[in-house]
Amino acid sequence: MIPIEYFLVLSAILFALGAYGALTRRNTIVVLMSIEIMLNAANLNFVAFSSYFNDVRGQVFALFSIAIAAAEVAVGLAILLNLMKTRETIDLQEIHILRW
Amino acid sequence: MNRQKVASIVSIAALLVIVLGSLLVVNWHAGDISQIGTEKVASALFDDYGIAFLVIGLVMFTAMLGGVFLAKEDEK
Repeated sequence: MIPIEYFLVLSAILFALGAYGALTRRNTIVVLMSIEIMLNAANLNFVAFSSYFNDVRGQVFALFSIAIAAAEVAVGLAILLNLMKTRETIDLQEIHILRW
Repeated sequence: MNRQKVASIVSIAALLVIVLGSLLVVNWHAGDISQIGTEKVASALFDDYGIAFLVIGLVMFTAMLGGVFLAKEDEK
């Protein structure tokens, strides 16, 4: 019998790891993967609560969330390809036209 | 170790402490873990959330079109 706290702690740790990667890494692909880790932490919470409260809606929403994440990554990778073509770099420290 | 890294570590450690502390303090009134059959998931997906399922398909189709449009090589 696994208590639900285990899933929640794992999810919180995954989210923190993803946030750390998204904030500190300079490679854009690694940042995209960190964002995916954060999304998967949320999905883990959905599925854990769904199975502990015996309600299917959490799993359905996790499926929707995975689909949206797939769409997001497709567009993100295409934008990265374009960026690599035009700027010859995907280093986030050198792409600062939209920030200070 | 530059300033950005230190600020990230501090803020994420604070977030982690707050989240872990709060979720370990709360008494979740959760029952036992249950095996939800795939039939229930399928009926919820197609009966209750059929419209949302269609819209998700539309979104993924649009994302695919956008990805192909953004990534295609320029033709002379």
